[in-house]
Amino acid sequence: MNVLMLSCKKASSLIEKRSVSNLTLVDGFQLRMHLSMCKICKAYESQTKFIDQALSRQLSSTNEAENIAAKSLSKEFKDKIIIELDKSS
Amino acid sequence: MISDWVQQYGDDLYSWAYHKTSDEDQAQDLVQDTFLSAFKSIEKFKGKSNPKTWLLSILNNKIIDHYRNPATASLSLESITEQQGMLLTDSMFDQDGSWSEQKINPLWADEGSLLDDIDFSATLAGCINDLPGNWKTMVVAKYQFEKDSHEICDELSISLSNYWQILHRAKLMLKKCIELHWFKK
Repeated sequence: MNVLMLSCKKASSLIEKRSVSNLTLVDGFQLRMHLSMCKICKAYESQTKFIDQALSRQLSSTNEAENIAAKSLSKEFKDKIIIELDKSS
Repeated sequence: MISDWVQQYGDDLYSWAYHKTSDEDQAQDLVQDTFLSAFKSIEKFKGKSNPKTWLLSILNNKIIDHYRNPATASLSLESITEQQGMLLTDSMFDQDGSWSEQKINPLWADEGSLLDDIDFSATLAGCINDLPGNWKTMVVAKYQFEKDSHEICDELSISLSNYWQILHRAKLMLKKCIELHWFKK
């Protein structure tokens, strides 16, 4: 394999590395080159970004908290929970 | 104390559970389960975190379990080990490190519309659950609690390079899982 060429496996891992720390100049250069030539890794780059967004949306306990519609539990239901809690104590 | 929390945070938890499940009954059950679990593990609650944050983290786990069962039950094998996860993600590449699958799955073409799709959320929740334990812990720390990389590395006693390598593997596994399980409905 040409020294200038990254494997797709390495390239995809550098995409992740780039998201948490700076790449070395060589790694950064090789990754940009690879992405300019490899359609599948280019697609992976956007897939992993999408997965990032989806994970944040799915898991985040803060992001959306302000945008969600406020719903209220009935007093009866709250009382029921409190009774259940008392029972299990 | 927990009874006060029911009054104080019940509505917020319910709003969140409803937002995630679109089902009032299920959302109520999830909230009740959350308080019962919180009550049982109250000694794990370290006063340093906000009660609401703690309750939400319990609720989020319940929501993930809820998605897993039954809609996504077929998703999971046994929970897999880290080593199996490595092998599985290795198998996505051939010996030269090129992608084994050379076609781009068409599902990614309309990824924009997936974010708000409740069925897709269920699939994703199942996929998150199928990650090896440590990987899942890391993913949850990063995305649920939005901790920064260094904080996560400290807590899990791993190096930064270990961290992004696992993140890489976890993302690969999620990609594979999504490609396998989405569109099979």
